[in-house]
Amino acid sequence: MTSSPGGLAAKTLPLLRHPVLRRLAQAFFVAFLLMVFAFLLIRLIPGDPAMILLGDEATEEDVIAYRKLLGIDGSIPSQFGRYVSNLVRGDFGVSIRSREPVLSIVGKRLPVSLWLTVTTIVMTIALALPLGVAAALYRRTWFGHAFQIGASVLVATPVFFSGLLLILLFAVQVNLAPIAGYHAGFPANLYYLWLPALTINFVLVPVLARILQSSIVETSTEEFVEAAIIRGTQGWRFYWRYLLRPSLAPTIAALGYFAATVVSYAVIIEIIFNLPGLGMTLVDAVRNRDYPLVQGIVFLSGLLVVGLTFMADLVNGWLDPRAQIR
Amino acid sequence: MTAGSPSIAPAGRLSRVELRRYWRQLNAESRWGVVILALILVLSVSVPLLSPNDPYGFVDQPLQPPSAAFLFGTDHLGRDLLVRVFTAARLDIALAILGVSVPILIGTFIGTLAGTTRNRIAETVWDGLVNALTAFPEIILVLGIVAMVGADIRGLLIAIWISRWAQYARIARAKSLALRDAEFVQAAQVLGYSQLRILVRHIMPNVFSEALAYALSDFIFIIVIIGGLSFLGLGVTPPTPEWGAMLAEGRLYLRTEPWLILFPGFFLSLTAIGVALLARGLERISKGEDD
Amino acid sequence: MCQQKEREIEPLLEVKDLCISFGKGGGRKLPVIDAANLSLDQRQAVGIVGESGSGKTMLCRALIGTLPRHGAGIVSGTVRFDGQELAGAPERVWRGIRGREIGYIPQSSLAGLNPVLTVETQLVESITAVGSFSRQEARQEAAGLLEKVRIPRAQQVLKARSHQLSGGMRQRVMIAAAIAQGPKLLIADEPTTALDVTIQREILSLITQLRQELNMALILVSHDLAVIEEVCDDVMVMYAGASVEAGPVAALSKAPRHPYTRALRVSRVDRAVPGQDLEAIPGDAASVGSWPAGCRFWPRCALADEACRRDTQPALMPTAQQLSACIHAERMAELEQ
Repeated sequence: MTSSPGGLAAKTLPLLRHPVLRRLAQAFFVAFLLMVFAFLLIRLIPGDPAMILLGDEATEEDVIAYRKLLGIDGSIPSQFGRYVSNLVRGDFGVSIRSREPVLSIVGKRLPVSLWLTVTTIVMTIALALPLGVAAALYRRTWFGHAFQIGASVLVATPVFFSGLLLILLFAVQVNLAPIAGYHAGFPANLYYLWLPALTINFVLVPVLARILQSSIVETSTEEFVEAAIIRGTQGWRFYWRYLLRPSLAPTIAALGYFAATVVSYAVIIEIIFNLPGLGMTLVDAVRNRDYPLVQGIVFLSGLLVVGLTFMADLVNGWLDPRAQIR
Repeated sequence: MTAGSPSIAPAGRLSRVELRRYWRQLNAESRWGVVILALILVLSVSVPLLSPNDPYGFVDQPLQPPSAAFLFGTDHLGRDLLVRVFTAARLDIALAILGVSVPILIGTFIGTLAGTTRNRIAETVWDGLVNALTAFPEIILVLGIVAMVGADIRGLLIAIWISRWAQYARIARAKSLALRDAEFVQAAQVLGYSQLRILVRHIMPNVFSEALAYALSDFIFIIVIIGGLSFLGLGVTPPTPEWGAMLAEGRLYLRTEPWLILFPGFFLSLTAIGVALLARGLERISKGEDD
Repeated sequence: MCQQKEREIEPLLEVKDLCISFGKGGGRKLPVIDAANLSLDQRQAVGIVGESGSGKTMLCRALIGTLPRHGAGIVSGTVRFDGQELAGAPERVWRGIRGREIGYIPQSSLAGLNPVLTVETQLVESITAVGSFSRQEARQEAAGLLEKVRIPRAQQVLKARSHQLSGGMRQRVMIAAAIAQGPKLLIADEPTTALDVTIQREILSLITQLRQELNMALILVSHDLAVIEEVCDDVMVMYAGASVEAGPVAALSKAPRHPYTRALRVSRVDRAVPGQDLEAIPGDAASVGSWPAGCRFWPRCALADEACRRDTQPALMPTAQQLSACIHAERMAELEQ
């Protein structure tokens, strides 16, 4: 994220010079625009949504009632005003199909998606760190070359294909995971989540490991690394303090950037592995033309990504003080 | 990567000598990319032409394993999988090219426009807009638009166009910010050319080359989105042969007839890998890494 | 340094005909240094002067054993330090030498300190590398080191990170880290290049004082002859990977016996007369990989004749009070009159 919105504000509001507050202000600004986009989304429908949903035989009263349900009655500014004030009060509308409030549907389905996201990110860190370090240390050996080729292949393989291959391997050939399905409750749910998380990481880990690798290679040429060697710093202390820690910032920033990708791929993964999360709900809603539900999920997932990016920024500021002066 | 780099040169006007010279400039990665893509292009043109089998028609017993008669076997409706896989290649590649080209044009234009205005508040709003649009998880935004516009090829393309221009706009803005004070732009201003003419004739062509570099990696993403949405039943729908849709159909036979997903999945991945290798190879050439 | 002097005790450091090349053994090799000679006694200060690309920094790296990190290695020649041969010594030996016996101050820049660690963490690392200290003792020692390098408000600086310090402060911290283990020899590679002129003076006088207080020998690398004349006893001039002149500072500044040294002296900014053009050395410095045959300086030399272009780089030969690698060293003497 570039700094302009906060940058302008920083001139007028001295409080916003604090880097964390500035980031927060930026996040709020982006969240507001997400809201505008979500509002505009339903206006993309060609024709009258109420007519589309109700069919040709709808009565005038039905159509008016439906427009009210969708929030598309009255002038556009008044629609937007109502939309915003509803959102602020936590009212995301009502699902057309089940007549259940969107927020309560999301509340029921969100935990599965959050568990998937968290499992994925934990797995990403656990795999990308050692791989990136190894790829940097052994980049001139066969391992480094194999890593480069493997990474190119994995990154380009679509998740819905690698997911099916992994099911074929781990669920059909070896019985290490269920073919599909989910049961709530930690830690039992990990049995259902590890294969989906691994599938997403087939794309994510190579990218992050590559970023970490080039970052470590760059760090290793820094003068302070040589200074530490001369000073006699050795062992884990040397690797952590002088190679890994100064190199982590770009990787964490990328992890924040790829939060959107994780949430994105989670949709397809939930369908493949039959996980009853937000993604599956969204796909069903799209199939059923449940406009309010689609709108709500699109907005909330955008909000989730903004939140994750903000957190990655914070972790970054703590890991690398240089990031804060920018 | 500049406008002179091998991938962008118009192929029609190239002599054999020039082609050979371009080939020599490529590194191992980009050469593999070219070979893979050429192979897929040749197969997708020739296989449906040469095979007597119709991609939509019943040819033999359903669910036959690969054999001499049917190299990739037959699918659950007794259709020739070989012909279907390469008919799908035509559609997927064509859709991906369509999906990439429109956002490049829109995004580059908007980004250049944004990059050449000098208004602090407009810039701030602009940054927020692009950040917000790119903050949406890509597939979810596409799904949202598809839900509104319609779950078919047309809806899919419109969704891709609406959701993908922002990245190009971002690149174009950064580049044109650097260019707006360049000498040739100032010269054009002194000559009294209109702002639009300067924009379209002088700045956009320069911005374009960087957008094209990004387009290669975007191509991978778009071909995955097309396959992905079709896999979810929200893009190209059966019986039209499309890799994602074929994977969705074959998924039901995963345990017993895995070749139904292996062949379409393999060629979809291979296409994406070919483009990825080409993109990475060209990127390294432009950075001056020779290994 | 002069070989006329009878040697009774071995010098602290003696570098003889050192050759350094890029690239691993067997593969393609690119020589960066092929005739470096240097000798210094206990507590002596020697300056190394030369343009960038002359191999000064590579020579320093050879003296602290970090050549392999930069893809280079010693091909031939000897590096004797305190009675021990260091050319080709294994990493295990170097660990006992680096920091403990030979301290090193890198070029002054943001890069010498790890940006994510506090000054204290890095100083404590330096201190605990030699002896066993408790955390508390090591901290006190770190504060003491900062006082030694004349940093006021030591407690505050200890908690700071590199980007919070000025260039001069950073360099003082680097000096503190370099002397933490009480080395016999301190190597300072262009320690003041990126600093303001006033700060440069402070840092140089600090190094001089510390050398006397702690009884250290010093190798000071600079492209500026004036800096070396101020701080050192002896000087060694490098050009294109070879030592071209060596001897006492006074001798080289009064009566240089190599045209390159003379050119360096003439091009000095501080001696320039206002209104008169600064006499720059004509031509470009010979770059690594494209050294000319014969004496490497001949393409830029006013004295060059047929003899200079033949054979290879001449060896250092005694002349007057110093050593020179110029075959026309005697003519230089006439020129001075």
